Amino acid sequence: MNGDLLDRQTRLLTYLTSVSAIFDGPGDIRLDDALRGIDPRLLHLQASISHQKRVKKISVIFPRTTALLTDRVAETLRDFADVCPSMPAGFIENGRQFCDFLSLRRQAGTLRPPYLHEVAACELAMAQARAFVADEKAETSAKSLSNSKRRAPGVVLLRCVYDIQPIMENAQNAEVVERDTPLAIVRPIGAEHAAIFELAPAVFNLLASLTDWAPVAPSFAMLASRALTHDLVECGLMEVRR
Amino acid sequence: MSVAINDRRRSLPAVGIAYRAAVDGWIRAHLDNFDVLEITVDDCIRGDKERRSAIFDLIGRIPLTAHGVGLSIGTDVPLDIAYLDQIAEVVERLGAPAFSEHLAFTGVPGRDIANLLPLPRTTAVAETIIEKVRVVQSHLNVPFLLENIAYFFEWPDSEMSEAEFLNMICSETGAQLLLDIENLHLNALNHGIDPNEFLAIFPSGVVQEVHLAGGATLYPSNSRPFVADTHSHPVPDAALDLLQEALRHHQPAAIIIERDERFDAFFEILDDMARIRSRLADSALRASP
Repeated sequence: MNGDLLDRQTRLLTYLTSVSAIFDGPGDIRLDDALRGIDPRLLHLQASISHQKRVKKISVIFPRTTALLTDRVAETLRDFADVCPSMPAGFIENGRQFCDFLSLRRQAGTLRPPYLHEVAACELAMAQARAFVADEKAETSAKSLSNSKRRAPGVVLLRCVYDIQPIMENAQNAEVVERDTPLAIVRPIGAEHAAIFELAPAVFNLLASLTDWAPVAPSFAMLASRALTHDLVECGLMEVRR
Repeated sequence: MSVAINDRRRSLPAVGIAYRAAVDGWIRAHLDNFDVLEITVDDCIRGDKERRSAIFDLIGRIPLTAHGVGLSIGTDVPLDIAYLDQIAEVVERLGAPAFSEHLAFTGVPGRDIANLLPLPRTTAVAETIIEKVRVVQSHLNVPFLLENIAYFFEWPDSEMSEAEFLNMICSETGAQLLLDIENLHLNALNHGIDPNEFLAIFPSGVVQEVHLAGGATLYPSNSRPFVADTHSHPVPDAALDLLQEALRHHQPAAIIIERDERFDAFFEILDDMARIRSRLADSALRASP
């Protein structure tokens, strides 16, 4: 290894992931000295193709989000490329970047519709739940406590300000109301797709607290009747050891 | 335990396709058409539960070979040893006879373009790659194969051709070659290199596996047309001609068709299989005394 090569590679990646390389093309851009001698038109081609592949990954994870963006998709993706250069190649990592980007826009008050970032977060959660793979080694070495419960691994909890469930059910023109909506997203065993469950706020908070095997706490025992526990286990949201 | 993948057709290379989860059902329904499947180890390492299960379910049903896309061996940082260990584990579980990766880089710490980029082909860079290839080899119980890539641009300070660069690394390390004939064909079209000169550089026998695919032509507004490695169309006849040329000097164990788009055109994949087998038979006839 020599620092010179890494420096050149870094400068190349910085350029290839820049908005000017992706969208504007060579034009009058002055290439970094480290890239002198490389045909700028070919760098533009490389940058553009790489961006298109990234966009394709986003459209796979976020079909409803991109549909809600309607004619602002191209503009949004350009801004996304500007703010969030391409990171490690994974589908989920790339999706998380897009989700974070929309959340930032929400905070800046520039997101339309205002629940868009929650739809994106829910779509990302569905992708995460689908991709979840239990760490078998960790499972084997986990302390086995009797009479204990935990949130099932792979469950994603999401507390939304808007009730976005009609959108997630593909009703694009449905009215979305502002309402505290605690959701749990999980891929039930044997199912092809992730499922979305709306939870009572108290149940949501309990599941949020059950990050690892723990003895049944008195507060839980009070709330979690046998029937509720059964339902949570049936839905794949909770695991129980007797 | 490694499995000899070209047993089914005796002295002829095994012919198969790269496994893709999107067409898992179709592949299983047509398993008899293939001698071998190529598994992308990254699907086993980072793929979802269903994908991993589907892949591991193929073990013992058909010979498998192992390919990687996430090593980025050309990035000038130390290799990710934990990732290498995961690769070794998957390769062993698959019973693959070899593991292949691209001679390229895809990113640097903090940025990754998820596309294969070329390296400056200098002696100094070759030396760093040689060191890394040895590290990879020390983690694997099977041969390591390097694959040639299709590239849009080249570094101006390259001192040697792609074939010379690859050959230097292979001969120093004993690594063998996954010859991507489509990439060679595209580089010939896009950059005017002579594919026969490329093939002539390598000593007989170094090519252990072959990739074939079909690309698509791009028409950039500010540049001449380029053919891209899209894995979306039938294998072109010119690539099959190059395959026959390669078979004059090499006896690869496996020939793999890569397909990542237009999966609805299944018949094209089966037709590609038939065309490849026909070329193999023709080459075998020509080679027989």
